[in-house]
Amino acid sequence: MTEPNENVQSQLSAFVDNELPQDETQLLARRLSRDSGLQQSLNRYLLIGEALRSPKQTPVSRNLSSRVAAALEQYNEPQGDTAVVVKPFKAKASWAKTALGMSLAASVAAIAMVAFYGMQSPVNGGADSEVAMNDSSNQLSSAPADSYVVPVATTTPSVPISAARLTNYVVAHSEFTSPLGRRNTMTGLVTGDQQTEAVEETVDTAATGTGK
Amino acid sequence: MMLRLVGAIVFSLIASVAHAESDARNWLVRMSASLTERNYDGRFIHSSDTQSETLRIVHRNVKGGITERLVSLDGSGREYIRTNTKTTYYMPDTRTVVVEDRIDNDGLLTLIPEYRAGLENYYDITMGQETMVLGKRAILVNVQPRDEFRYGYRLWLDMETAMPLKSQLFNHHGKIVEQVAFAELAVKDSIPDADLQTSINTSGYSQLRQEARRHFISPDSIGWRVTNLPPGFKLKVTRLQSMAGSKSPVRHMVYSDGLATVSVFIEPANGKDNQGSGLQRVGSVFAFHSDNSGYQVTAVGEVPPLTVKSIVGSLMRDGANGSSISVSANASAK
Repeated sequence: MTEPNENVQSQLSAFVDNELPQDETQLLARRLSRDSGLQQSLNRYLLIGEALRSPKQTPVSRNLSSRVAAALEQYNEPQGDTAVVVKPFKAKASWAKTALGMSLAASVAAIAMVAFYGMQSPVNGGADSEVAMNDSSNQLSSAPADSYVVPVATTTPSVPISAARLTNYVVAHSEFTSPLGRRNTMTGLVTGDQQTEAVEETVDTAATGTGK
Repeated sequence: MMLRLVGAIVFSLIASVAHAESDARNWLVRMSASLTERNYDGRFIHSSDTQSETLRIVHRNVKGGITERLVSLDGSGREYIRTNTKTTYYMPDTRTVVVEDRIDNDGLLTLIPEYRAGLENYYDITMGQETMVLGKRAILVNVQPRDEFRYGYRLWLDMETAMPLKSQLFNHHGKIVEQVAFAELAVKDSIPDADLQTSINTSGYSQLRQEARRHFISPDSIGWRVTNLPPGFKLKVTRLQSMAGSKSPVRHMVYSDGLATVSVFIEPANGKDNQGSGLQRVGSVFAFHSDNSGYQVTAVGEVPPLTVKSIVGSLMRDGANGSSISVSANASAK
């Protein structure tokens, strides 16, 4: 899997905005059918788009997923068993150009979903019981059912954690790092220097012993 | 006579090395203290393989009351402001402000970093040469990892204040993962309130609040353990905490070798999200997640991918304790 380059990301963004010319759309569709990294980038857009959806924003559009499905159908090449579910998401996609790597924003959105759906922290019990929690992910998943299944190339199963959840983890973790580590960690979030899709391992994996 | 002379020389060499290590460690202690306790205002350039961006950091300490503001100057314009009891994110790109209440547990958090003598088992900590950085006399401190389970640091510390004027994070093979270099840094007697307030006009922004729901619990109650930890890592904290998007309390375990820390988060898999396993990155932080006995387990830390994968790979659930967790507030971990 490779990280889409800037041009492809721009194409993806334009596609999401419904601003990509037809001929380029077909090229992008071909790439999508073959490039798991690009599929994950698209999924990331979709995820953030869903997460950022709020009552103030434009209602969900099914146009994009329809276009993805339609475009990919033209390149119905034999593929493996793995499938990506492309769900509908909002049409107002100005966020898309800035959303790449915005897990912090997605985290905001996850919390936003809690607030918007009126599930804000009813806490049962205190120190002697587990905390009653919210499940905004269930709310996210309760979106309209008309989704599209797009066949993609078979790859090693490697499904990323949602950007929102990853950000929550990193923020919680930052409380337990050194002052220098905390600064570095939070800088990574603020700058959006991140890959929320699965990344290639870059270390020498020959050293697998963990010893004591 | 000759034997005594040789013995004296060996003893002198050992003492010299130990003194040098102690000196270097003392610089690290001073650096951490400065980052926390001093008042400063600076602009720095953060560079990694994938991007470079300028940020401003303003940090104030008034009798232990910390306020810190981090601002992206040439990116999205996002800001985060942290106090002892509250963290606020300003997201101009989404016209949203999120406020998260925090529990003021800085007393517990001083456990990390832990610049103990045993740190040298896992890091080779040495003094480098004096040089000039930002027009100031600086001393280089090298923190070289002895294995592949942790990153190293090169730190150029202001010899007057011990503030890190420049820092590099690198892996076991010496490859730089991330660099932070200050372009301006002013250590001040005081920081005015105005410098710690956002410059973003939040009129019309969505205002969201996430309450703090965290309880420290005993390690025996967490119900999970890592059976084959990377060398030097020890369990420091176990707690339950609420987390947006999570139906159940999230178990949070913190492991540290004294310098690097890794958090392990455990929550029931919801079957729709977070399936399978995978490695992800946020800045210099790697996260690896996997399914385990119906739970989603994720290790997060400013460590190489190998470390988070090793920890997740040897995480075991205690069947006897896993289904029931007794919570005792403020029961700190070891």
